[in-house]
Amino acid sequence: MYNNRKYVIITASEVSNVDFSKVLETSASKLRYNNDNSKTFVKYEGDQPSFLNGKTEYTYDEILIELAKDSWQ
Amino acid sequence: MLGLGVGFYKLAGDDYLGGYNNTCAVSFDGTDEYIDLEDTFQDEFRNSFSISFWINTGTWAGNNKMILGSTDSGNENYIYIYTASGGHAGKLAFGFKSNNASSPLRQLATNVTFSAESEEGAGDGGTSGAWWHFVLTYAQGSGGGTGTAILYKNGSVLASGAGGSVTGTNQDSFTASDNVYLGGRNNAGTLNGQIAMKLDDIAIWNAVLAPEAITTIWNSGEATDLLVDDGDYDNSGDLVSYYQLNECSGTTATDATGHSNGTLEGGAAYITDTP
Repeated sequence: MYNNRKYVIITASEVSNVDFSKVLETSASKLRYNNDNSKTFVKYEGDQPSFLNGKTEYTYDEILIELAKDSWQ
Repeated sequence: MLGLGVGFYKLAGDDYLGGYNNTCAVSFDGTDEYIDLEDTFQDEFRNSFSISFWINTGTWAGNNKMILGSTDSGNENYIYIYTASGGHAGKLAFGFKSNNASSPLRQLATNVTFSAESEEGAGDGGTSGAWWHFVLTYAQGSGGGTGTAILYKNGSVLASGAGGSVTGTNQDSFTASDNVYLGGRNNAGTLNGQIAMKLDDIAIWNAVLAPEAITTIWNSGEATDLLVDDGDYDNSGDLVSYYQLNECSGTTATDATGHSNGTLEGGAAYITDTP
């Protein structure tokens, strides 16, 4: 049911560039970080927000694989 | 003939008589979505309680996934309902630890079968999309006596755990500083254990529901309005919080008791698939 969603992993330093009106997360304080707090991710439906241009998009199934890695557990 | 028992009765169109028009539920994608109930429920978990919810995981949700959970910073107090791992993989578990400064840390856990492959999903690869109704009751022990947990699935007892090590005295000291989450665990302020699921009609009572009451609210698989006593269910006055999740839009999960509204976070969204 999440086929229309895209996920993008960003670095912690890039969080300040996120326009939370363009992603499904609501604020920086609600983001999920990896274990060393160096990376997080945002998700959206539809076109990729411009502030994420050039970033790798993951599908739902792909992001689940990424998040299952030890660095996120 | 029109029955007037528990449940809702659909007439023509969208009109309902005598009960509950369960319009929406909430889906979680298992990445970073949860509902913050905006309360620790410390007072409630210091006494006997019951928790009811409807869940649809589609396929097995994986291990160590939290349907409900909070843990304090010292891991000395926690409550969670989660999918177990290791030798208990494929089962739903209840974890409850209550700190007692003069005693070793305590834990009581009850494990039950919960895999789609061995339950309602049998025969279709675990993708049936069935809604399951679970009720956990926890009866506080008296003084040095230990508590008793019973888990019901679809109106029937699945498992019970008497004993463990949480005494009534220990439970009196249950201490929580972090809000309870649904769809993950609030691990001292950090979300983990995210689960992909659909969830509906979560209720917390400050009483132990009787088996007959639980059968009544199971209602053969149709969620009922828990604000209304009917038949063997007479616990509406014991409700502490009740999230019907019928807002169908936005990020508020209204507590029908008025106790503590929750907040959908991370993109958790309302859907129209309901039990």
